[in-house]
Amino acid sequence: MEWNWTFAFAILPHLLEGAKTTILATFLGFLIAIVLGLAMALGRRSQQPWIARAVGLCADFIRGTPLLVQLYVLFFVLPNMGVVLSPLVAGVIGLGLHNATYIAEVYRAGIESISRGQWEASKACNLGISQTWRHIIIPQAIPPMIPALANYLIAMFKETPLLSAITVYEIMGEALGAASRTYRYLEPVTMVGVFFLIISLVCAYFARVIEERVRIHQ
Amino acid sequence: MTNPIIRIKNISKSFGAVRVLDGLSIDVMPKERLALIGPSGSGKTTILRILMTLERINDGHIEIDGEQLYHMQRAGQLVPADEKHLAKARQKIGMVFQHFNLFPHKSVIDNITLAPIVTKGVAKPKAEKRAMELLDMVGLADKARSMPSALSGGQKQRVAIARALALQPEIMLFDEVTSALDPELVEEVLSVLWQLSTETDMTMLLVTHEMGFAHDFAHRVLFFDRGKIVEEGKPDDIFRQPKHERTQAFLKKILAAGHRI
Amino acid sequence: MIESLSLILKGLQTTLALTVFSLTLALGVSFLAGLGRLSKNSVVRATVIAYIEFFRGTSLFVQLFWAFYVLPFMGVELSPMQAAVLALGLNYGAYGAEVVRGSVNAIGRDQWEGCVALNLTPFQRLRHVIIPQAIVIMLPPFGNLAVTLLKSTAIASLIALPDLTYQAQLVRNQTGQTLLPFAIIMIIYFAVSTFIKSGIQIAERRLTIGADRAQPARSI
Repeated sequence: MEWNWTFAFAILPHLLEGAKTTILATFLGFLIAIVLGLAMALGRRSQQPWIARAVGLCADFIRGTPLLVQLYVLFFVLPNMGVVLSPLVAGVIGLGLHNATYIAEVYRAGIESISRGQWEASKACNLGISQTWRHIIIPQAIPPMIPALANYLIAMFKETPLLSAITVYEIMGEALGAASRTYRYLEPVTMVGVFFLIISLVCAYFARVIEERVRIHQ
Repeated sequence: MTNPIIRIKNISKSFGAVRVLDGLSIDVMPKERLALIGPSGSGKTTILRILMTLERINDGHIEIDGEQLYHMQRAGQLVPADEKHLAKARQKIGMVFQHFNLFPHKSVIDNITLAPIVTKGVAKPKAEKRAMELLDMVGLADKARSMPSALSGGQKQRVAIARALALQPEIMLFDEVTSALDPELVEEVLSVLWQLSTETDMTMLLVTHEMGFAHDFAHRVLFFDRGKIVEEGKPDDIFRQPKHERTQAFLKKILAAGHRI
Repeated sequence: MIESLSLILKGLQTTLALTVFSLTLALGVSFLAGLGRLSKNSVVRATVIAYIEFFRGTSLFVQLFWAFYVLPFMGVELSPMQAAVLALGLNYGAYGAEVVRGSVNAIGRDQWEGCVALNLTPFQRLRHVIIPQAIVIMLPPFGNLAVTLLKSTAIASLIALPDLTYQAQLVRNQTGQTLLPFAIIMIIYFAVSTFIKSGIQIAERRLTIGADRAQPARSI
């Protein structure tokens, strides 16, 4: 099969339309993941042991099962319970929820990396719990988390093609749509690959720059 | 007249912009014991590391037993040595490190037998028998099956000495072998070195801050400062009547710190 | 109900086979590429870097579809299983290569120098001293990769490989039930991930007992 430039240009606008959805889904998913992740990290530190354990078990379960199946549950099972989500909403929630469990670990590691001496010194300075968090712990814990969070953002971006399985027309959905209409897979699938490769390489470059900055900053 | 076993000719070595060795030449005779002393950063450790091929030289030549160390003949020309040539040259040399460098995942006896078995093809029972003799010599026969983490610093260093000896080198390099030890453990390592000096006739190069031991151990003492040999001579001359003012200043500082000669 | 269960169990067999095959390929590739990344030969290094960046950069999903739908047009006809093993193995091999490289780099310089002083060849250094210590460091990240790989096998259902996820969809289509098939396969996936994780933990404990932790690298 020869590469057909005419066909490639013909589907390009569709793919770019899909790329917008891909990027939108990535960022919405990431937003959900960093908020839910924080909730999970705090839940795991709860004083109530049963809350901590329940949150931990849920997170383990989500992390131990495939994202694709979770998307199917959100998209096919929830409507039977009266909750109908649009494909994009279901996809973004699934993506965000799945990655929140990983991001919770990033928060946990960041918080635990702060030595006990900092808590004790805060106590010695007569800071309250919320003051300690706000002025001492969080400002120190966040910078080392940034590279890890950036990596999860990139990882989520590469997972978005899964959303095509629940009929979200992101870039892979558009490509597979074009392919099944014309029986030409070479151009659409290759173009999607190139799209991901370019964005990943650019992101990896920026991630390195950020990592360097953080290291210098410390 | 015998030839030197080590011939260092006009070598230089820089780390980035820092020149640690500057046009240095030393001849070492077979069976000779040399002590290299001097302030930290004077280049004495670097010489041992260069002889062990852990660092490359920027300039100059080294001969071990008449063979080029860093160069080899190819089509009548001297070219930089390849890994095969270096491996051959290294057979004659053993080294003991400041931080022991034992392999933490192998037992004491496996640390000692590894190189004889894999580099020389010695059969395992034979290698183990020899290892036990060496462990006996350093007083650790009962620790053969221990893991390095279960040993004290002094014991680790004695195992490291046995490990180096297992390859039967002609030249032994000792790089500040007691510097990482607690004071009460220094003696047990020095006594092994002393035993080697009285019972074998290996060529030995010793980098140390133990001036008293250097005095008794060495045939010849080299005082280093800033990458050059400032003064050399018999131990009695260097330690009792140093001629150069930098040697005098160095010894005075060391003595003030409580070291004895 | 029983028919549904037997469909799903068949899917489990396929999922396990796919996981084992692609994990084996990924492990082999990880070591090859991870050690190649540390090679002195710049051509080897550049090739390996290109491989790693390509497979980490283009999304597993795209690679799978490319292997299944595009390769046949180039004369390479792969079954769904072969395409999935190829895509998963090469994709996770690229991530694993970084694990191997990182673990080998984590072994202190003193260990390499000890090897040189004992005149071990470069291969002997790796085989007897560096890799045995690096493996202990590799185990936890490899365990995580193995669990992620297991989860990723679900996407092979999209190229009609009859794995757990595919069979659950089949049951859904045949019976109209939605919650039950998905709940069952999620529990199965979770059980297998837990099994992998505890297996790695046991191996880790075995390897750490007796073998000391690697000494931290010292600065010269």
